[in-house]
Parts: sequence; structure tokens; C-alpha cells
Amino acid sequence: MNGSRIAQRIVQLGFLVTVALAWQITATRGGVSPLLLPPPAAVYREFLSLLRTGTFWPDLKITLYEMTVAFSIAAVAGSFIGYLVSRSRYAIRVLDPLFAGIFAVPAILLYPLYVLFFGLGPGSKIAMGATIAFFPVVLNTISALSRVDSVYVAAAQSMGATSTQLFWSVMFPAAFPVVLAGLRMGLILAFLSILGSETIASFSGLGHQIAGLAENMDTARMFAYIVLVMLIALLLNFAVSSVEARGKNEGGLSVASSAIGLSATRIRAKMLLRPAVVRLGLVGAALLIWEAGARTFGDPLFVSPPSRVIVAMLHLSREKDVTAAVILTCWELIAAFALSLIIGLTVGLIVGMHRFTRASIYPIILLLYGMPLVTVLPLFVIIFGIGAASKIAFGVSHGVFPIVMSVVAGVQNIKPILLTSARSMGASRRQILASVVFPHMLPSLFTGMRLGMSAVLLGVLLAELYVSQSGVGYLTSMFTQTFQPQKLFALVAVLAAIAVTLNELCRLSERRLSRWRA
Amino acid sequence: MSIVIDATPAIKVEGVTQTFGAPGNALRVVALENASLEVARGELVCLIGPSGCGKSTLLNLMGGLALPASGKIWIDGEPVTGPLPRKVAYVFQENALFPWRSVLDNIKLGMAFQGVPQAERELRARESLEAVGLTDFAKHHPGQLSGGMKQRAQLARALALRTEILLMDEPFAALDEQTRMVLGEDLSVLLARSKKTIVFVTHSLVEAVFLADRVAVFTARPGRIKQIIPVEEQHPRKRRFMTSTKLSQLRNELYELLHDEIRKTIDIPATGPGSPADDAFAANDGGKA
Repeated sequence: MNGSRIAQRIVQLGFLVTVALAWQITATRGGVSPLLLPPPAAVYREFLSLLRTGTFWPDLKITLYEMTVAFSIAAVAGSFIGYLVSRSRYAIRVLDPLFAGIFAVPAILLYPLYVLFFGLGPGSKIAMGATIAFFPVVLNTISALSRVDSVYVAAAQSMGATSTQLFWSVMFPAAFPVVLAGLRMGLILAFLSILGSETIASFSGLGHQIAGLAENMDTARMFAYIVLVMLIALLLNFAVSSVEARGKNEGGLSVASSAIGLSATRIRAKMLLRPAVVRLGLVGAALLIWEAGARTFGDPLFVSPPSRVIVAMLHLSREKDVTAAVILTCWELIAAFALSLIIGLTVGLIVGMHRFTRASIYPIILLLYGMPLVTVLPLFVIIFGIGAASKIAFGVSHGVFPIVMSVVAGVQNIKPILLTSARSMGASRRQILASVVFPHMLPSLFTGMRLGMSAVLLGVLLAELYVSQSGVGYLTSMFTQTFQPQKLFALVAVLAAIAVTLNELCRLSERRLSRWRA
Repeated sequence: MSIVIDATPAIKVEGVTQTFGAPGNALRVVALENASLEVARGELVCLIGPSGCGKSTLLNLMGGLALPASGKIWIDGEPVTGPLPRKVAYVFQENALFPWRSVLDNIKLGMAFQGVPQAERELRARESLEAVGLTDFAKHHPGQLSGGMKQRAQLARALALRTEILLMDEPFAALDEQTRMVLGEDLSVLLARSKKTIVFVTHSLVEAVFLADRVAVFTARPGRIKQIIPVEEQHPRKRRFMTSTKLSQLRNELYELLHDEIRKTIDIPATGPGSPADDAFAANDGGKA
């Protein structure tokens, strides 16, 4: 066992060394301009000087401050609301799918609007981060509390536990690992979305620094900043997972997204008509309040009542550049998603099929997944230009990871007896792959595709928001700058509809395919 | 005894030893030590012994799913060097049906692995479904079957492969006692009809006596074959045999033989691990307990 562990470390080290070497060689001999790709040595020098001079400090402080506040709001609100919802099975059926649906819509689209409301300063970043981080926390809290094994509850009640005792001695400890996984995902999402909004529009913070350096083509320094951010992300990940490891008493859920993927599906399967009606009613009521509020108090420059949004939506469909933008974005989405699927499936199968590659390569992939990709966005633009290519590439960089992770998970949890049994009946390697591994992995792959889909959407829109001359993301920021909120809302509604539809399609096929799991 | 000793036995095991873990490793376990056994054609041999005595290990070695550290095994007079899907079929204790396929498709899959033509697959699958009495459940998925039905479906899948030898690793262990007894009766009928050679691992004394032509009793780890007890009774065996004094006498004899060995695994001495499983890594837990 020891020997193989050493071998795993060697492979991991070898991988990192190979990447560094390849980087150095392309940068120095590959004929690539140092403006596009500075050699690692130069980056290292910049990194050292960054640390020595401490110029990053004010920006770091702002980013960390924004993250802490945003996360605290999301953690408190998310776990409290999650607790309230979990107290009633009915509320779960109404609200859980609603939260899951909203979570699938890329909230970053609303960022231009947040800037209108909260200004260019930390306020808009905090609000954005809190909004995005709220959902994993609330979803995991609901899922964790509603799925505590009923045997534990019955045992506690039979011994005469009061409801307070039941909560603190049974529900809370049993749910804790999954809630913690949600908190971890919330913290990381808060960090990512704050960096993202700083990159898009800001005058301070690490994301803003990186974007600025990219504009000035100061790539070596930009890379140094990126390294810094990566280190912080690593530290964050490490800190949270060490807390998680301590709190984990029954194996918990190491992949937070899996809990999110499951929570809604499980409960949805049993969904009745009535909760769906109530849910629609809730959405309708929210629209009505919005309409009334916007008409009486709102400044039409900032908020637009839903009725006007609908009118704007009808108008939009007749505007040529808008339809063109939607088509362009859809095309980018499809291309990015297809590429993510091909790459993700291949990598996932290669990594997941063997215990050795899983132990050696998979941690690297998980590490990369925790990295704030937004900070590399300027790099994508430098390499791929401001056209569709950089949007697609950035979308792929987001979409690949959930797919790889779900494929690995799907391959990994095959019962060994099924493989042994196939082998005993004389199945070849290819037959095992086609008849055992693949069908077993399929439902999990669909979960991954669903998560990958919303990740691709996020990546493409982020890239469009950051720098672009076309596409939906570009239009949303343009509508904001020209104070046309009804058009902005209309466009967001269209996109939300696309996101929800894609999400539902994936969910339906997922459910069809996993019927045998019952 | 009604065993016809052919020129070549169906299975021959000679001086087989199996170890897990590298030499010198503290976790190294000798699962099976110097085991020798011959199984004649058409015979049903039960392997019985304390947990961790290497019964399942021996079964896996017979089918070529693993290779022994030393010693030799022949199937049909040919040395075993790997899986022999055309000669040996398995029924596992764990539910090894593919949950995403219907019962019928599960049975067909094994034949598909071996390149049996499509039309014949259907025919053979129907036939073996009938043999185990699951014709009405062909289109069901494993998740919709009871434990007993699942094991019958697994048996049908193995039967459809039409191998001469059937290796069964505690196939009924997860079932309740009544179901197990009835399935045992069915198996005895099946055996009388099909003349298969069967090696059957079990924990149940009654099951061993009821089914076996010979019972091989293992010692505690490191597992050796302590004694082989013949059961002289024609197949198919009926309910009457289950309640006979002959069966209880043999059962008591087996218990006498096994008692000390079982004790050894329960009263764990300071040195030896007494893990409940047949694999090396579970020995960790045995040490802690």
C-alpha cells in the first residue's frame, strides 16, 4: 500500500512538473509572445516582488472583506430559511424545486442591475456574492434535515426526547456534514462571484487588479496576481475541508454538488400537483408585489414593473440585434457544452476507471475545480480574442469539471460484485465498459450534464459580460448602461427561461434513466 | 456413495495455498493453506467452516478469478490460468444482477458476453427462467424482486450459460431460513435433472447436509480442509430428508467438528486476526475488536 501511495505522489508531482516545463518551453521557444504567455521564471520574479512590496494588500483586504460579509449573510439566511422550510414536508415540496430552479439561472446576469442599485463599490459585490452563496446553503440544509434517517428519530422519540432535544441531539448532528458541504460550496461560490463581479465592473479588489493588468498587457504581473488568488483559493478550500473532515462522522458528502443534485430530484419524484400550483402562486404573488411596488415607489430608471417587462419582451423579439445576440449566445452555449461533454466524458472515464489514476490524478482535478477561473478570464481573452472563441473556451473551462466529477463518481461507486460477475461470465474489457460501466454511470452523467450546463451558461455569460461586442451578456450590460431596465429584465427573463428549460430537460432524462434505481 | 469416479475429475485442487498482502507485511494473511480436493462429475460438494477460513477464496481460485500463491488447480484436466466462463458459472451471495436491465436482459447479457447468437439467447433465457420458476417476472427489474427471486434470477443467468460446473458462493445466505430451505429443495431437483458439478459455499449446517454429496469442513484461518464427510442420499432430496434423523445426526457431527474452529475465531488470541471476511484488509477491524 505504501509503495503505491508513493507512486501516486510521484505521478502528481510529475504532472505538475510537466505542466511547468511545457509552459516554460512554449513561453521561451514556442514562438509565443511573452505578452501572451510570460515564462514561469518571470512570473515567479513578479510574484516575489508582489509579496515584498505588498501592493496587493489593499485589494486583498477589500476582496476578503466582501467575501466574509457576503458569506456570513448567505450562511445565516440560508441555514435559517432552510431549517424553517425543512419543518414542513409541504413547504419542502413547494420551495425546494423553486430554489433549485433559481440556482440554475446564472445570477451573474443580474450584476449590471446590482451595480445600478448598490453602486460600483463593495456593496454590489457583497450583494452578488450573498445572493449566489445563499442557494447551496439553503438547498443542502433542506436536503440534510429532511433526510435524516427516520430510525434515529424514532429511536430518540421512543426514549422520550423532546422536540428541542430531538433537534440538538439527533437532527443537527445527523445533518451537519451535508450542511457543512453546502456551506463550503457557498463560501467558494461567494469568493468566485465576488472575484467575477470585480473583474466585470469595479474600481478595487483583486479581480479588478487582474483585469486592469490584462488591459495594460502586463501579463507577468497579472499571472503573479493570479497565482496569489489561486493560493488564497487553495487556503480557503483547505481550511473548509479540514473543518469538514473533523465534523464528518459518517462519511458525509465530499462533493457538495452531489447533495444539491440529489435533493431536488428525490423530492421532485414524489411531487404532487398541488405543491406545483402553490409554487406557481408564489411566483405570481412575487410578480404582483413587484408590479405594485415598482408602480408606486420605484424609479422607472432602475426598476421596471413586470407588465412593462413583458411588453419589452415582445418588442425585443422584433429587434434584429437582440435576436442575433440570443442566437449567437445559444450557439456559443451549444458548442461549449458539446466540447465540455466530450472532454469531460473522456477524462472522467480515463481517470475513473483505474484506482491508481483516480488516486493520483483526481485530486489534481478537484484542486483545479476549486480555483477561481474568473481570474484567468482576461487570459482567455488575450489568447482567444474577444470573439466567440474566448466565450466558448471559457464556457468549456467551467463545464468540464462537473462532468468529469460526476463521471468519476458514477464509475467509482459501481458495486465490485457486478464487475466480478461480468468477468466471471467472460466479458472482455470493452464489453465491461459498454455493458456494465457505461449504463451504471449514465444517471450520474446526466446529473453532471445538468450541473455542467449551468456552469457553461455561467462561463459564457461571464465572458460576454467582461468583454464583448455581441451576445446576450454584452446586451445586458449595454441596456444597464443606457438605463433601459425593462429591456434588461426582459432579456434576463428570456435567458432564465432557456436555463430552466435546459435544466428541466436534463432532469427529466435523468429521472427516466435512473428509474431502475428505485 | 453414488459417485462415479471419472478418469478426470471435474475439479482437482492440489496443495493450494493463498495469501493476501506482501511477504513481510504485518497485515499479511494466509487465507488458505495446502488445500487438496477432488470434485467428481455431477457431484455437489459443500464447503463449510468458520468466517475467514478461505472457503470463498478457494471458490474464486477454482473459477480462475484469482490465482493461487502456490499449488495447482485443474478443471477438466486442464490447469487453470484465468477465468473459464465457458466451463464455470457463478452465483454470488451479493445481488450481482445488473439493476438497469430486466431479469430477461440480465440473463441474455451473460450469453452476449460469450457471443451466443441472438435467437439462441432468447430461447435459452426463457428455458432457464422456467427452470427456476421466474417466467412471469422476465420483464421485471431486479429492484422489483424479492431477495429469493433475485437469487433465483442469478441462478437462471448462470444456468443459461450451460456450463458443466456451477460455483455458488453462499447464494442463499442473505435470505430468511424458510426461503433458503425451499430454494435448497429446488436446487436438489435441478441437480438431479441437469447432472451439473456444483461447489457450494455455505454457513448453514443444515443446508450443507441437505444439499451435499460430500461436505468439506475447514479449519479456522489459516484455512485447511479438516475433514470430508459424505452424505449418502439420492438427489432429488425431499422435505422428508430435511426432517430426518439422518440429517440431524450428520448436522450434529458437523457441529462437533466445527465447534472448536469457530471458538478460535471468536475468542481472538493476542496474535492472530479473526476477521469476519475473506479478504486481507478487513483484518484491520479484527485486530481492533
